[in-house]
Amino acid sequence: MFEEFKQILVEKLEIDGDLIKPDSSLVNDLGINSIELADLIFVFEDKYNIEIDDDDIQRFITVGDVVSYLENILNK
Amino acid sequence: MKKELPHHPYQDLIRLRDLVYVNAERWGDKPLYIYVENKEKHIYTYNDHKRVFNAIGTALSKLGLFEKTVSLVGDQHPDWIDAYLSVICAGGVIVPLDRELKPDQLCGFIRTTDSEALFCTEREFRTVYPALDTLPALRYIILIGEEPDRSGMPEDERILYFDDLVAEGEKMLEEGDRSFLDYERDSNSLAAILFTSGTTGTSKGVMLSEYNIVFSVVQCCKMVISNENDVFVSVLPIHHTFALTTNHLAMSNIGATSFLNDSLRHTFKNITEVKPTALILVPLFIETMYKKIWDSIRKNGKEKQVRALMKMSDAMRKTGVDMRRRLFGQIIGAFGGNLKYMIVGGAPLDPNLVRDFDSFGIEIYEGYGITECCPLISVNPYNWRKIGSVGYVAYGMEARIEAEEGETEGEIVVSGGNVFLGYYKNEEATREAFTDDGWFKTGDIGHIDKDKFVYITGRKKNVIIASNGKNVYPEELEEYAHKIPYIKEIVVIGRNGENGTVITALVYPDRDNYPDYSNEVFYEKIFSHINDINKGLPSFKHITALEIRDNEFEKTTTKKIKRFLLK
Repeated sequence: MFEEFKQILVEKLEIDGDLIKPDSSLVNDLGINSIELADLIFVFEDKYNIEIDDDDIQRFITVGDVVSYLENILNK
Repeated sequence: MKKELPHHPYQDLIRLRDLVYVNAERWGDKPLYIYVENKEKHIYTYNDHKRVFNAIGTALSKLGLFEKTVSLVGDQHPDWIDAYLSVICAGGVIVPLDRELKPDQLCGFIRTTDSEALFCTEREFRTVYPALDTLPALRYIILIGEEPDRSGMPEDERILYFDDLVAEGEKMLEEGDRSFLDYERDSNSLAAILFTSGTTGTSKGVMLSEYNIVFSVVQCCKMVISNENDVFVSVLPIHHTFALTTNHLAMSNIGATSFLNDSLRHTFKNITEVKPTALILVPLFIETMYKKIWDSIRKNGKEKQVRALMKMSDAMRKTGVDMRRRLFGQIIGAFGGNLKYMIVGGAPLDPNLVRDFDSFGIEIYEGYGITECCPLISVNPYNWRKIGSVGYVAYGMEARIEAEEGETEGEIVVSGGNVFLGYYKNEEATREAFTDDGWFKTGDIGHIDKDKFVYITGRKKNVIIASNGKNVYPEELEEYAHKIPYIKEIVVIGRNGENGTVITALVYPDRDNYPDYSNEVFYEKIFSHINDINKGLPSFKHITALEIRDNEFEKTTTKKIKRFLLK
């Protein structure tokens, strides 16, 4: 999931892949705002036919937070 | 340059109920809202709005909720707006609350206002219901929006459903009940309390009258370009006074249609599908759209080409030839293809973005408002725009600068029918908010040019404006952070960073209790606690930078930290 999320960040937001690590801060290290993140999450919703709560998205701080959240949902 | 304000098909109003009645007459079965419920799109017409408003208002009389205080929290939905308007028109006080409040804060505001009923969606119900015993004044919880499975709900006569109330109200109306239809409220009395962001301890309740709200709605209609052919995608939170007054109340007064965005995640998908002509936004959205446009242009290796086209197109426009829609159709197409203009407020916006969007054919009209003014203070009218200014002083308002002698800049103070009544249960703050001659002190620093256009250059209050337009009160974050054991003194400030405002904690650590800790150790330990705090907060409030200080903060004689020295 980490690699998949990383690839989407690189493709959709043109972020340098070398900067993307599990503990990278979405805001501070990668410059992603909440609207961009919500837009990216929608890609996963669409792909895996899952539903993710807007409120949960607000609470993500690092890349790892997003990845483990998605993994949890997909494993349910 | 035209020096007249634009004219639009708005209706002059005296009472809020006329907003509903007159516009139902004017626009009838035209959609007021398109909204998503149970994953399907529904249409809500101007006539539906009148029917439900009358029914809910009438049902309030049966519940003994005339002239009472009622809280309201939920996603944007027609039920929300009908609840809001009917409570006010039944002589009550409505308290619209933020969905992002923590459970204890939400209950705190319901308690402090002695709300006797709460309109809320299922999500907030799950929060408030277990705490009902701590809310002695609360008699009813009325569920709005997508209805939950009733079989899974507790059996409790205090729980009511919006649709049942509509049916009840319609029955009462059929039987001739005119209690709501004939009710006349004092339009200058308290009608709404809007809490500024924060906890019950740090937040201030802005008290508005019906007259304040009506005045502001008409002001917006007079100042902006919109008309009945406009289609909006409404994306801002509905309890936010900017969204409520402009995107909901004012737009219904010119016959426009709004699609209610069902989720932040679906914003761009909805914009592409609905093909709006106009959007009302905060700068964060504009910045994101801007990034999206240029990322896509760069990905296709066309940056130089597009820049050259923009130059050419701008030059042609000066000679009266406007080719923007043809030249940049693909760019505009990403937002549905019909987008002509965006009204932006809530936070400062980079003028370069305004110029670039202008070159692409999407015009941005920047405005300026504050909750205490419900919110409009100024906006750039479409036929007289000054990029870099937050606009022309709104119709019916006066603004002046309180400057020191010899200075041209100073605090912006305003007066007009939209200026609030005062702060709820806070006479001291109310006194401090007004000048000796009764003008409201905005706390913003700037100047006003000879044409009555306002320019903002600074801020007097501590509040940090996030680029999503929301106010972040440093005192609230400091209150949370004070619980971290390694902190002796903390001040939270907003600094300008590459990606907008960076909320930064300046900390003088507790060196007395932890004498062996280095600054690096303090940094590690404190940041880990800050991240825990962040996880409980919406992202625009996250503290994302920390600075450990070697010395205590400089203080006044009364031992208050001199915050104004900190940058």
